[in-house]
Order: sequence, then structure tokens, then C-alpha cells
Amino acid sequence: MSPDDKEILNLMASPDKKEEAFSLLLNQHKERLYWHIRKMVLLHSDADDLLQNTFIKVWNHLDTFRGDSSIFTWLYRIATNETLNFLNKKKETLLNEPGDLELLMIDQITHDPLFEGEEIQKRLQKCILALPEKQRLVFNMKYFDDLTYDEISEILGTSTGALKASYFHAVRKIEAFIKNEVF
Amino acid sequence: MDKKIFGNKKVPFKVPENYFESFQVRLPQNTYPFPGENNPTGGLLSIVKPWLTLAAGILLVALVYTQIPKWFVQEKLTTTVTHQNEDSLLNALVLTIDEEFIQEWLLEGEIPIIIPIDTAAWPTSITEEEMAMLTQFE
Repeated sequence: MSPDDKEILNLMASPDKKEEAFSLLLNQHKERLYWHIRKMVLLHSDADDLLQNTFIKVWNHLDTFRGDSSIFTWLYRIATNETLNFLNKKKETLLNEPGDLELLMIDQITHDPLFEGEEIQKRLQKCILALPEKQRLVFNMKYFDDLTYDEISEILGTSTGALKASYFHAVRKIEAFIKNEVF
Repeated sequence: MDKKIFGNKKVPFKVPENYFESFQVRLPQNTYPFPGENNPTGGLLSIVKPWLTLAAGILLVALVYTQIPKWFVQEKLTTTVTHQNEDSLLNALVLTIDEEFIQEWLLEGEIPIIIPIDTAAWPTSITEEEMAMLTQFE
């Protein structure tokens, strides 16, 4: 457990310091969580909503956190669940056509004024969108967030072996998409 | 990893200006109140508010169903009451007026029938035609 985590846990232990603990936690992790969510949902407005929901849940369950895992892992898990639930609901509203959500999101990348990447980055994002959701999540966490397999395993509740295989397949698929100019 | 394929690992998105700076300020105000801050009665109000809303809704529906039909039949109801009042008045008057007085009042102004005082002048027998003539009123 990091010194920051210990400090936050100590503050959380006393009810009158709960707000202070929450502020510390929010300041330390909001940006990292935002980018984690944003890479999955792509749109800023969606990411903003989900980040707010994540911190509301964190606030509401602050008392239940016992420090069995690191605060960072706990926050990532909440944010990931919020994001996956959001994507599933969005899929349900799109007439249950598989692939509809991915097409919509690819279109959003093309027209999003908050997308500032080069062409190669845009192509990479389109390739990532074509991956199955879990592979996409693993790829983002490993490639962009530089999380270790152990950390990802703790967040997603999946074995490291399965994660390694998932990441390997994701990389191979993206390479194939780019080389074959699918996107 | 090949950078020609995966780029420079930079996330190709940006956020609105001052988003992260304002996020912390916005969060407590827009999404939930901190306990004991701004509104100390917020907890009680949040519990009672849905029930008050429900009660107000039921009251409104009840008013609509009971009051609006009355507006449409108000005129009819008033007429009925007036008639009832007139009948009562007449009944009350009937009880107070003397019947003999009414008879006198009815006969007032009528032409009296002149019957000869001398009964000797009366015919000993009278036919039905004569009787009809005598009793005929104009």
C-alpha cells in the first residue's frame, strides 16, 4: 500500500475527515480514471458523465473500502464496471444489431472536434474499436496505461494467463487490420 | 511494437479547457451534496419530497374529477333548487290562507243570479229545457 493510500485510509477512518479523504483521492486519480474511461467510450461528454458517476459511487461506498486492494485498483474497478454497463446499455438501444455501436463510435472519431490525433492514431483507434470489448479493455490498459498484468488481473478479476493471451490476440488483430488496410 | 502501426502511444483525444480543474468544483455542487454542507435538511426533504409529490398528484386528480363536472351542470342544479323553493312557498301559502276567503275572492266580480223572491211565481213544474236555461251561466 502506498503512503498516499495510507494517508487516505487514515482520513477515511474518522467521519469528520471523510470529505478531505475524498478530495485527496479525487485529485490523485481523476485524470487517470478519465482517460481510462475516455478510451473506451471515446466521447468526452460520455466520459465526463461516467467519471462523475464513478466518483459518486466512490463517495457512497467510501465507508465500505477496507484496504484489501490498493485504492487505485478499487477505483479502476468501479470505473471499468460503470463503463462496461454504459456500453452494454448503449448497445441495447441500437436495435441489438451487433457492430452498430462500433460503427457509431468510428463515426464519432471522424467527426469529434476533441480528437486531435494524427491519421495513424485515428486508424489505430478504429482498429481498437473493432476488437471485442474485453480485448479492447485489456489492450488499452496494457498498451496506453502501462498497467502490469497483475494489476489488470486484480481489476478485471481475470487470470494473468488469459490476459496475456487476450493482449497477444489484440495486437495481432490490429497489425492485420493495418497491414490489410481494413481501416 | 512497430511505431508505424501503433503510433507514438499518445492518446489522440483532448478535453475542454480547464476541464480537470473545474471537475472537482463541479462534482459536489452538481451531483450530490456533501453531508452538513449547504443544506442541512436535504436528507429529510429528499425522503419526504416523493411522497408530497404523490399526494399532490392524487389531490389534483381528485379535484379535476369532482370540480370540473360541477362547472358544467351548475346552471341545471340552480334551476332545480329554484323550483323546489317555489313549491315549498306555495305549500306554505296554502296552509295559511282561509278557504272561505278564497271562495269569496273567486266569486268577487261575478254577475249574481237573480232568483225571483216570490216563490209563488215559480212554475209548478219545470221542464229540463227551462232548468237548463235557468242554470246556464255566461
